[in-house]
Amino acid sequence: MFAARRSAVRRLATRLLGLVLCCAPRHCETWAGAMLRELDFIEGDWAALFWALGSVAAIFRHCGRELLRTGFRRQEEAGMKETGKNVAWVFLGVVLAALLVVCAMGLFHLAAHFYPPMFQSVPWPTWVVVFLVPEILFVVGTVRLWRKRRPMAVGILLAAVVFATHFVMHIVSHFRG
Amino acid sequence: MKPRLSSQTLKVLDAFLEAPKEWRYGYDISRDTGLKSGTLYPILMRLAERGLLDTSWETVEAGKPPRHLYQLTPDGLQFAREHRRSRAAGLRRTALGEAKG
Repeated sequence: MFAARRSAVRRLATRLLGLVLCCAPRHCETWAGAMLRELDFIEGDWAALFWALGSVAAIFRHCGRELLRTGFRRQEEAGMKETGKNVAWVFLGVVLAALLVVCAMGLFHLAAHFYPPMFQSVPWPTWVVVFLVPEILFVVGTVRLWRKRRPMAVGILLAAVVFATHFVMHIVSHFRG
Repeated sequence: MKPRLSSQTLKVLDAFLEAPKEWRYGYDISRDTGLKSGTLYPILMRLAERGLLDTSWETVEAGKPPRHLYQLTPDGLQFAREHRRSRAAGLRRTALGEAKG
């Protein structure tokens, strides 16, 4: 029991210094590593813990300002990377939606080629194939992806809105004409 | 004008002067001087920054983690010796003053 507690103390000391080593700015990494290595040679677990605490204090005192600056810089870099990823996912969503519309248009032209009278007499099959089916797929895709990959869902939704607007404008101009 | 050194820094320099050619481990210096890691390492860092201390990683056989080693540079040795001399001279002057007084 006591041995287990002692080893837990040493583990805590090692983890503490390991954590500081991970976050330390480059010029302090060597020093943090040096202090961490010495831990293995310190007799007594509590002495090791006090060594680790002193070492953390030394690193913060010597490298604290740099540590804070580097920490913020790393956060900024991570934020920029995250933004870049999100933009890529939105773009992918838009591209996929556009591909779907192109496929629907292709399907419509193919159907018109094989059975022209149907599309000439009634306009609704056109609306179904070119507008309704893709819009339903957009909505389903957006709902399904909203939790897992929101940026992509936003991209699909954006494309759906643009496409719907375009379609409505097209219909209005068609009936006016 | 020589910079005023803290008593802890002087202890560290003295520890190095005991075996000037030897590379020392941080923990050994800590034991010799009685300084805790929180006091010792900032001193070592400052000495290294000023080019008075050489640092190196120990080369060891596989499986054993290397340790960081420290040794005074020639400039560091000169600096430490000068400080030791001036301290000794200061002590002599004090002792003489007390003897006369």
